[in-house]
Amino acid sequence: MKTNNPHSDKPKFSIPKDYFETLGEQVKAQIDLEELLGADAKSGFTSPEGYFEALPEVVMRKLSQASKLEGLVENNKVPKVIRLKRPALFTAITSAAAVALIAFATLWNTPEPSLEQLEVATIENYLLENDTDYSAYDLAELLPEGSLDNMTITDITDDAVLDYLDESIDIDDIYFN
Amino acid sequence: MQAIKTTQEQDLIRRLKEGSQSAFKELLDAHQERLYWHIRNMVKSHDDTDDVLQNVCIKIFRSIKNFKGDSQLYTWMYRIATNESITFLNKQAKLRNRTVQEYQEDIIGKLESDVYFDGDEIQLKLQKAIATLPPKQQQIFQMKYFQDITYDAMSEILTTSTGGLKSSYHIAVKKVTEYLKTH
Repeated sequence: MKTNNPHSDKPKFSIPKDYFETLGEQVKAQIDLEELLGADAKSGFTSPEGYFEALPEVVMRKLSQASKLEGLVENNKVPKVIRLKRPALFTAITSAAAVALIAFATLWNTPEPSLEQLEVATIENYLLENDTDYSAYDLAELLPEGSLDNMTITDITDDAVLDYLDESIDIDDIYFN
Repeated sequence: MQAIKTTQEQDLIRRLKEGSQSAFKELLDAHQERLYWHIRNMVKSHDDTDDVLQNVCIKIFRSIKNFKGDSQLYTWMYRIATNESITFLNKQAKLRNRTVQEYQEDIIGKLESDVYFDGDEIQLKLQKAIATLPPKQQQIFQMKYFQDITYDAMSEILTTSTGGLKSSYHIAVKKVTEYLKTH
């Protein structure tokens, strides 16, 4: 703190340390800004005409409505609104969004599908889920002519036969029927 | 510490605490415009300001009974408005998965098409410059530069020392000037 007052008969005021050094810098910064913006710079925001005249009434009305509603709730005249739990709502919304996104991406990115691109499992699932009632013979008729000509029983491995039997036949049927 | 109040203000506070609606209307008439601009400078859009201001007014009416008189009535109201605006900004930013600064930049990006913004190029640039400041410096700069609130009042509103406020304002002025010169 400086107490540099040569006139001892006058009150001794003090000033913060480095006051005059920072004052000059602060004034210059303010002047620089005002030169760029103009001395009477405004934010540029405006409000709708008549807004402030109407506001008190709007607020009073809102207060009165809120008080009435609270009064009704206190007297149990208004059933409480049961809100969906946020996690459930959030899950539902995000799931719906994800499904929509995947469907969109699939439709958008996938070129015209060909039979070769479909996996066997996809075709199997389609046939099972859509209850097409195709027999093995019906399906065989759909194959191009001659495609089964070169196929012999030896092309099917033992493991494939066992897997087929395992998946397709109920062993109890064999034992008990 | 009990703030010095005029007899008129003491009378108004007493009537407000009694729940007088006419006293509340008087209070709104006297302060709504300053509160509006304070909020508007923070949240930028008129519609959002309107929402926040209405909530602030309702909060003031309901919590006036808790006003202890430690500060001036208007600085107490400013404090509510400041807190409500900050809460609003945080909530909006979180909803959009943005930081508050990114959210503010988004709003400023829309100012040119805002019917309630008639600023010129330099005023738009000023808003962009303000958005680059840390939140507290933004408040201090706007309260001082646009609203000319005294450091003493600002100290009560933002619960910061006047020395700290002066220093923050000075830093903000330099940053804003630098931005305006380089952009």
